[in-house]
Amino acid sequence: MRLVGLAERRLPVRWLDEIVHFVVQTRLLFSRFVLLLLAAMFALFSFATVKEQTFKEENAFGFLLLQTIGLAVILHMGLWESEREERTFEFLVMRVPNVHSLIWFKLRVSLIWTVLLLVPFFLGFVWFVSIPFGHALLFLLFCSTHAVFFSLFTCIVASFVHRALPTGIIVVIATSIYAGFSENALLPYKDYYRTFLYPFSEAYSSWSTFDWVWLIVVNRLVEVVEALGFYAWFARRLSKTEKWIG
Amino acid sequence: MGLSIRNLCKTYQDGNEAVVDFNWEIERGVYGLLGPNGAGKSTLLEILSLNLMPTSGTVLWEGWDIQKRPTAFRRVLGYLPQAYGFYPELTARQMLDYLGRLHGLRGRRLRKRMADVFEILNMTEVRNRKIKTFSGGTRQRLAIAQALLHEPQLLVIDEPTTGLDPSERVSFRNLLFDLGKSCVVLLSTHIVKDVEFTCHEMTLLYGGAQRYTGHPVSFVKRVEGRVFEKEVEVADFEAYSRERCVIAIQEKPDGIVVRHVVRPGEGDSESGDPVRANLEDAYVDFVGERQEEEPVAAA
Repeated sequence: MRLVGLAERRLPVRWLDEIVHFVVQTRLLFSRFVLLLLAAMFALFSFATVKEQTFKEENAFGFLLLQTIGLAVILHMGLWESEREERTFEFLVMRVPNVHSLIWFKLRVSLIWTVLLLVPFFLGFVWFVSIPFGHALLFLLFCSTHAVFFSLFTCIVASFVHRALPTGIIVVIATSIYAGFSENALLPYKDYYRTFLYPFSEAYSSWSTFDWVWLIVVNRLVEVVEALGFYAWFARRLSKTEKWIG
Repeated sequence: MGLSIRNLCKTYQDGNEAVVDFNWEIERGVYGLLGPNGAGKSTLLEILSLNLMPTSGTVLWEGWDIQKRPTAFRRVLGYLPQAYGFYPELTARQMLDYLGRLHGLRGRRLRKRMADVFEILNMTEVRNRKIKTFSGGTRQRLAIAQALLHEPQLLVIDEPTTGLDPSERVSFRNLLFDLGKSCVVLLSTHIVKDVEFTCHEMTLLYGGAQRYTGHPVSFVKRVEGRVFEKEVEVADFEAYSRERCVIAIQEKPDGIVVRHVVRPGEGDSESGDPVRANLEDAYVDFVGERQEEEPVAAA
């Protein structure tokens, strides 16, 4: 309490509210189950890198995408569980001005953690690839659009499914099916809208070519638009609270 | 300071008419919403707390539409839903601090309000314990605390005394009575005594429709002179109770005292001793009558 009192005197009110919010939501985010999954994910990639040497330069780009998707799914599959199962939703909805505030209220902490936990994977990525650090950072930025896309996708699945584990399983199955289809189907202009393995690795070697820049930027813009679509869908489901309250 | 509910209807997607043409004008004081399970009470309260959209009708607070100014309305509203939850890993103090901040309370004011509500609800001793260790009654008190934290002008509470022990229930009724002096309290319950002891006006919902609105004492008049108590043998009890609208029974060493309501004009020496009617007698008699007349609504 003394610490809170001191912080209240020293920090602007809004900052302190944000810190309290961050601490509370972080405690909710990292259940024992989520920590176990994260530990398993880190162990798996460390093992693959050190022992099997699968983490090579040609694989590094794909691995960072996979790690981003994995983190986004693990950190978001239980994001709304307490709101639905414990029914804290009704207390929150009384205290935030609208649905958009409620989504931002929950998502901002989980997205920050997704980015923070991506840092060790990114450092591993930088170790293995021979592209300039600036390009690697750009790739991380592009990967973060994946984080937003899969976070929102997981939230939508969570709005239909109550529990975290079934949500995670459904997202993984749906993602695998979609990846299998979109990467293997012979679709026209696929590089402009493919979600997985978009051609950054090919592009970085000829980065100065305008066509590659254009292709990558359009590809990422398409995913951002898709993420916005997911957001709109999720907000619509949240605004019809009777579907949540039952 | 007043709430005006006008022609409110709510029909769910499956066609269930949960609230039908509900009208009520309420001002400062404690108001009771009484009805059996499934009568539409919780739906009405969900609409008042902006968690559900009505199919038609309006709700006005001090003359303005709450659906059009939800943020302003939430500032004056304290809501205790029937089903709710807390983050089990937090302590009561952390939970209230968090909810208070979300409501815009900060610094000394937040700490003072938290201390006040913990004191009022007798939770000072347990404020630093994790919520997952709380009993049902303590969780209920914390839920009441969160509704009172920001000093609301309108308090909407759904089944507040569920899970409270008898002494907590009495002190909560007293608290409601005190709150009614300074704000509008809308209490929804199927515990008739809560309404009888705290409310100066009630409305009775049945099958989504408003069946009575007025002072509880006026409602009791419908059964005045028709409530009796009779002591019967244990062996005769089943046959006796089958033919009558039984309100309560009390076991005695040499038999069972049955409190029952008779139909108008049917009271005789067989009925037992006439006793003073209360709201529970009137309510049970009313619901029994409706169930006979409208079995579909009762189902």
